Amino acid sequence: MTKREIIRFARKPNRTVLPSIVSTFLYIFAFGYALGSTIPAMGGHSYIEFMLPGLVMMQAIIHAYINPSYSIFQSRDTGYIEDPLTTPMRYSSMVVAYILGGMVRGLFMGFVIAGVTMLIFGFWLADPILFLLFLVFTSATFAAIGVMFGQWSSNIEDVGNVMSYVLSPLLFIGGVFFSIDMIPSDIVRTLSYLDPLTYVIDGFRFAMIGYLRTDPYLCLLAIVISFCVCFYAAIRLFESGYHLKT
Amino acid sequence: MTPAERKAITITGLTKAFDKLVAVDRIDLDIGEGEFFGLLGPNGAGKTTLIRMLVGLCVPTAGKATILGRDIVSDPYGARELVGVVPQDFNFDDNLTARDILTYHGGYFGMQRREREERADELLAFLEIKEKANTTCTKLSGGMKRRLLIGRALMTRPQVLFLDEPTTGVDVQLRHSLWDMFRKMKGSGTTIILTTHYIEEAESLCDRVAIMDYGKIIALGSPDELKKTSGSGNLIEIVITGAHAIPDLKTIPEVVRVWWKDGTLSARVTDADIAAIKILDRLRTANVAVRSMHVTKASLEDVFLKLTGRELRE
Repeated sequence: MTKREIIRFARKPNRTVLPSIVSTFLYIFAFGYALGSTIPAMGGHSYIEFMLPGLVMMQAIIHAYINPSYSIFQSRDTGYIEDPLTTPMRYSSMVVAYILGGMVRGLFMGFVIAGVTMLIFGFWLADPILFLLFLVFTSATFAAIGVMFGQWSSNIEDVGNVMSYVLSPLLFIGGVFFSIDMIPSDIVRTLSYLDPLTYVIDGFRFAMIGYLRTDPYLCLLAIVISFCVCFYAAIRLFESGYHLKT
Repeated sequence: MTPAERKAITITGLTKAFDKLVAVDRIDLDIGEGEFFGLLGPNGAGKTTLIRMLVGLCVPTAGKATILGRDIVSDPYGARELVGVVPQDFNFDDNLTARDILTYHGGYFGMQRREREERADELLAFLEIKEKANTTCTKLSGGMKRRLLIGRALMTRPQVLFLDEPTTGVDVQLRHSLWDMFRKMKGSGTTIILTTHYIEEAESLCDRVAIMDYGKIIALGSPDELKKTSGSGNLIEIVITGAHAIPDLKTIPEVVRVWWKDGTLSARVTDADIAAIKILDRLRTANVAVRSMHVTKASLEDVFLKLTGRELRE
């Protein structure tokens, strides 16, 4: 089943991963290369370097979420989900397969974007092991969230709306494009502190370019705990049969 | 104990209610191993809901059911190890080829890769879609998809096979070809539960039939038994030449009612074949000249009509 989840995006890359890769490089060009040259260096890093970890993480999160959420929703819509549901495969195994599929897609996006940008801008990872751990646990967490929304959503728009109303705001106030210390409003800065993605991006930024703002190991612990909670919740929701069984 | 006497499925008081609608209402039923069992009834009778409960897609409101001794609620994964399901509608993953659909399904059951590949090859040949093995299912014809749906259920050589209206919307030629396939499966010892609203399908294939209406089983037996117990479904019409004294036919046990109108002698009978021989014998003995005879046998449709006052496909 994990293989099926990977085939979903791997067989049609022009419809799944390529558009995001293209748009990410447009972001890099517009914000990093063109506008970024007017922004002063942060902690000894150029703006484009500062922004790259956030962009990598943003795409990893979005794709880790998209894969299982759309897969489950479409399977429910076409009735395909009844095929695995009538087999002896454990529901928890199905959730693991969906999460692994999303995780692989998230990691793929992370590796491709990070790899190409490192080649272009000529730098190497500050902490490759932390980089990998952050990508793995963040992708897995958002894949688990994708499993839940794929199952919970009543229509296809709900699946996409989660990205517009939840993921994108969390990513933006979490400091993908700027350091939250630059935010002039105390209220917005407080919101940023409450946003779990702030710590994910902070930790990942350290792992990728060595920019230290928050203890990266605390950030890693936070995302590991988040994953455990989301994984457990996804299994419980799946086992409840909500929207899967009548 | 013969296989037919051993129970493949035991259902006790199984009920499914959706708010105020009771889709399946306290059903008790035993199905023997190797039996070809039909669930016959109009749309909305509860046939599909009953099957969905047995295969784990619908949670029973009350009651109990076991598949080869495994409880569908307390041991759902164990029960599902034994079954194959052919759903009413095509439910393929559009990203997969015909071969993928078979091998992935085998994988969900824990079949090893080599075993999956061999079984898929065998089924693709058996279903006569081998040349389409690497075609995505969206590009297959309706008939091919129907075969593939059946092939998927057969991947794991299930001991109990559920066929939910498997020939709905297929042409006559394919329907008969699928019937032959189902007979072969029955020949190999598989217990088959078929839902259908095609009378001829149930009559042609099933050892026993349960007629369902409004969530209940309203009649149960072999197709012949049902037709006989329903009583007066068979009609024999005999055109007689000239005026004769008609012998008393009501003393024939199989004859329920006799009437005479416009030179035609009509009789409602329980067993048409035996009754026809006995009636002709009596008429010959009484020197009554018969010009022609027409026998209209009762069908399960008549049984259903008699039991419910409605037609099956209303």
